[in-house]
Amino acid sequence: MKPDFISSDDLLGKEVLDKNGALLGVIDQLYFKKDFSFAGISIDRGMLKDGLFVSKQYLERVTSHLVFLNTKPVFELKGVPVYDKTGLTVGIVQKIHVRKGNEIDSIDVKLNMFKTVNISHEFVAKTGQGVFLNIVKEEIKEVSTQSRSKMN
Amino acid sequence: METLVDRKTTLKGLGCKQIMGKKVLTTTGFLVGRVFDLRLDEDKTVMGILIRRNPGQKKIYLDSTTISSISAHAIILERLPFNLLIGNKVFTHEGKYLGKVSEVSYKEELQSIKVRKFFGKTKSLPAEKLEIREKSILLRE
Repeated sequence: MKPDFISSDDLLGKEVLDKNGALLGVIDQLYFKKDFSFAGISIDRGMLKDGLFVSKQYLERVTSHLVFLNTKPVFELKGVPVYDKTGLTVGIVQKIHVRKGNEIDSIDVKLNMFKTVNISHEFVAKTGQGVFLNIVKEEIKEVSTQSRSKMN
Repeated sequence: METLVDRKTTLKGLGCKQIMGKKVLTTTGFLVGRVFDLRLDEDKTVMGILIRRNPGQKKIYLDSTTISSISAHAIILERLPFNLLIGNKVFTHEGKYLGKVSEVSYKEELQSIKVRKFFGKTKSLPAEKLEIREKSILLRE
């Protein structure tokens, strides 16, 4: 291999570590645009999870053992609990609406069996193994819109 | 100030009964456990909290300096308790798997960790060399 280049052998089959230090899966495909410029990779996450496409802008570095990402895929937030700013459990993330790339536009939060609300990204304080809002539960009705998925 | 209190009077602050059993979360939403006990010192201030986890797991004592905020619904911590690093995977800067954290030593700050591979030797790593992420630990360059 030439020192400045990375071959497909260096990427295919290699495990991918996200910014949080979680192993996402194994690179199974490389994608190129029609002008042969590199577009990104797809990650095989096993039989139970859907595959993931990662654009080249989110690749931090490639080493002999792992591929490091400079972000955490927002889709990983699906199913995590949502807390208001006092720590009260509000519901769980049902769907994530993404604006350009990997940024959250809004999230659909399932409050109970019958009600789902859409909360804009400006009310999301922090994400990780849960989602923390910067408002209290009583304010959710005022700031939320009806779930997009139900509106469509 | 002294006041006679009946059932209808509401007092400022949170009562111990209100906090017992409440969730203990990190700022990223990780559920550490539930409040089992509060510890007070001789100066009448809260020294720390005892956290109950899943059945079979040991309780964790946390100093009050790690608490970010307390509400009637949960206690929110500034960081993950060091004890919960045990079992996390450790990688070198190059991504080579070193093993899992088997032991953690700390006083107020993390001092070092011991890493052990399955059937391998135990290796001690100082805290300055570590980059702690949410789900694993990386060694600095």
